Amino acid sequence: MVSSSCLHSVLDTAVNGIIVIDDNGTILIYNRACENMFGYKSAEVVGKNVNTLMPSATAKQHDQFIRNYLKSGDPKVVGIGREVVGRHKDGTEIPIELSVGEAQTESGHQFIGVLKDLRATKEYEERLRVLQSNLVTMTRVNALDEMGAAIAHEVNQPLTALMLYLQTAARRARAADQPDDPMISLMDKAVVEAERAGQIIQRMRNFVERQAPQCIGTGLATLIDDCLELVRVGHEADDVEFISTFVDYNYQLELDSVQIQQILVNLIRNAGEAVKDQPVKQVVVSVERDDDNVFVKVMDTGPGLDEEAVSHLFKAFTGTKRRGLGIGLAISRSIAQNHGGDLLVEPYEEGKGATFTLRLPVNSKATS
Amino acid sequence: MIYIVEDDVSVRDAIARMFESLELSCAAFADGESFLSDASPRIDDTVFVDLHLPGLAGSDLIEKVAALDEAPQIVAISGQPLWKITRDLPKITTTPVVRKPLKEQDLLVYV
Ligand SMILES: Nc1ncnc2c1ncn2[C@@H]1O[C@H](COP(=O)(O)OP(=O)(O)O)[C@@H](O)[C@H]1O
Ligand SMILES: [Mg+2]
Repeated sequence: MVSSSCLHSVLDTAVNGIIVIDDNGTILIYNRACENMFGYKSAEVVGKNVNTLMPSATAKQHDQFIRNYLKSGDPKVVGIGREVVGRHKDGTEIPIELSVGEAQTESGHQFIGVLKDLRATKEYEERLRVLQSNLVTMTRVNALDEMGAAIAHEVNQPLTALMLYLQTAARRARAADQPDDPMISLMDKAVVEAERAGQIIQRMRNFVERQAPQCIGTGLATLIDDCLELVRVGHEADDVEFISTFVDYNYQLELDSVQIQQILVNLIRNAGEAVKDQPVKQVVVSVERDDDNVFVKVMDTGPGLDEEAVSHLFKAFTGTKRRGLGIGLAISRSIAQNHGGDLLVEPYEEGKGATFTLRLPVNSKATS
Repeated sequence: MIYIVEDDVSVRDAIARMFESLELSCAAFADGESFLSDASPRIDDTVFVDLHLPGLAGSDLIEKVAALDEAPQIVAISGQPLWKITRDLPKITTTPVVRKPLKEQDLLVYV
């Protein structure tokens, strides 16, 4: 025979909330985890109807639910479990995972509810969702930037040559002994069109240049944790270990957190891809500091990058797996440089994985 | 004399042809190293330097040329975004910058 005090201490050690009610809905047992969850002390609710712990819509119907079940034996919750909403003493609603069992005792029919507080899980999921959607938006903007910058740069050269050739040719045509007027007029028109193309390029470039980073104080350790979490979501299947060794949660840095996250997510994701088929699958993010700079290092146990690979690495549009949140290394580097920092890859070492170093100046100010 | 240091073949050729057709004498180079070894610019010359050069960087070349005894006039040419230009150009110099895409007027104002 288990003593009642022993039973209570067992109940109070349980991580989950435990509530026992009778067939009228009256609370008989209410453990300590419930006190934390709902804000009511045991003495405040034992003897009251369990619907005290529910938002009014459910509260009104709960007695009827019990009666229906007792009459029909048709379970809605009993033996099944489901996600329900509870109500805290202060009125806020609490997402709860509820499973219910039943028991016949000398004193009648009783129901035992085990409650898991989903608030932390929900908040966490919500935070990940927001992080992810920020990244998706920013990635779209940045992909446009990257394209714009690359086009502006690549088209600039031939356009410059074209313009100068045309102007020179037009001048020659004018200086000829017998000027060919229709020909001259055509060349002048061509010059005007080349000029128009030039203006479009310039406008595009101005647009790209206007994107100055929005720097605010940000906790670096949390930012790194968030990035690791974002990447982990896609790697649940293939036991890659993602680790951060930086735990100074008070350390703040002025930076554009979404942009820096993009860089880190890309680096961590690349590293995760690189270690996939390796015997040791590990990605480690560490931080080093000196007076002027913070160095965030992403190190992996992948095959590494030899000199040949490194030489193409930071060129625009060289990436292979452009999908979802991906931004390439080229734009990662230009974001870092916009922050007054840089993105570098450590020299190749036989038998070692790759290490990318993101340098950010302390007091990071945008150079624009 | 006008000097052009520009790595893009067609841009270099187009600039040279343009000056030639105006009967201005000019010499074109594909990089800073060959310019330094083969050219001897003088005070009333003009040197157009592309900032984006292989090997010796355009900004370093500008610094070297500006340090010459009878330094010529120097004009930087760049297709890069503004923040890159301001980062690359030595801050103290007053080197004018013309940005690509260019028209002949952009260059002719300097000669
Ligand atoms: N840590 C790494 N180890 C090995 N290869 C890498 C690593 N990071 C990047 N790479 C290589 O560089 C390429 C370019 O990366 P990136 O610019 O981020 O584009 P993407 O990831 O979309 O391919 C990758 O496809 C991969 O081949
Ligand atoms: Mg990538």
